[in-house]
Amino acid sequence: MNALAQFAAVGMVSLAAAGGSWLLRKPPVEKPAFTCDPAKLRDDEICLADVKGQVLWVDARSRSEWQATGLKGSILWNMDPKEDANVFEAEAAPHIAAAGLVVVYCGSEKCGTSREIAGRIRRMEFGPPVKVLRGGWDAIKGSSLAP
Amino acid sequence: MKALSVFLFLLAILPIRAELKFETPVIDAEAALDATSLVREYKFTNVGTKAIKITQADAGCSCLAVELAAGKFTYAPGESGTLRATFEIGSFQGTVEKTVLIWLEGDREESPSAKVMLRVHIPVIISLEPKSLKWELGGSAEMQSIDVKMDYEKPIRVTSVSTSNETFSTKLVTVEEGKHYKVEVTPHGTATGGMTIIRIETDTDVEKQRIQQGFAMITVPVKPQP
Repeated sequence: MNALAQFAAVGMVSLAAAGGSWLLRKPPVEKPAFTCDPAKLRDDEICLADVKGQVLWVDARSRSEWQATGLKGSILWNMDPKEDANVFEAEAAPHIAAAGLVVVYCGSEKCGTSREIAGRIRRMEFGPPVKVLRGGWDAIKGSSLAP
Repeated sequence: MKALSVFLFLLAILPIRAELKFETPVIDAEAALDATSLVREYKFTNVGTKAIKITQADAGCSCLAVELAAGKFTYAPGESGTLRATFEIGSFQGTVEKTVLIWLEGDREESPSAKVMLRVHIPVIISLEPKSLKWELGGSAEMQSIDVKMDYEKPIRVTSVSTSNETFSTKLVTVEEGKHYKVEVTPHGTATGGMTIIRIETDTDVEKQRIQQGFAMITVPVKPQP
């Protein structure tokens, strides 16, 4: 077989591989809106659809994000080292005491700050259940709650 | 030539496992009391049969920054590298666990190839037990107390106790100087609801734990929602 034939054979193999890859991986698609699967919830999590009643929203994102897009009636409590944790706790106390349910959200599904803040609120032992919003801001931004 | 074509075809389409192996995927770290941040390194090796490219490493927390040493992202088979994690301690206390997910080129978003964990132990030198005291509206106004316990190499003294309003009175009782105190709290009545923040100041040299807060409230018990 001459060089040209070999080149053509290698080219065909490459094309077949590329085609296979395209079929297996599928073309890129737009990321769908966040959906909460109740079956995958951890014990301390809640789906947005299940948030009802006298809710206190706690925004665990940065102060600038909270100021720009925080939910109406929400309070800020984050882990920013530049913020004063005692002030967050003191300012949150009367709101938590009056709430029937406390829901903490942060910037995304993978954000772990909301779980840390939820733990701190639970340790205050005020009584209302404290949940982490599954999906965080990703769940809110596609909902009717989004500012 | 036929055999060569088949070999090249298989080479091109068969999934070849690219593996990232970490020497110590879980690191326990003791934070110094005065530390503001903590850095740990994870050594890894590409034990697979083809080169890998690390496309993303995410700790899911702004408190933990992750970077690859020398900004190197691609590793040949057998090649080793280092992932550096910097944890900003901030106001964290106690044991904090953070997981770093690592995606290689070709990974689906929901299936990162590897993960490592950083478990940081931050000393708690002053603890309040309980942190909150509660009285029922219209119920008994008996005194309750908060235990303030120190767990530190040096004595820590409570220097002042104050409340954010006049609904309650407080009294500091020394159980063991520098080690154990009680803050006795009594409401002036329970006819109306109210809450106060009990601010407990100490003389510790660990600034971020110097001031502690407890709470006292007169309230109708909250009925948790179903």
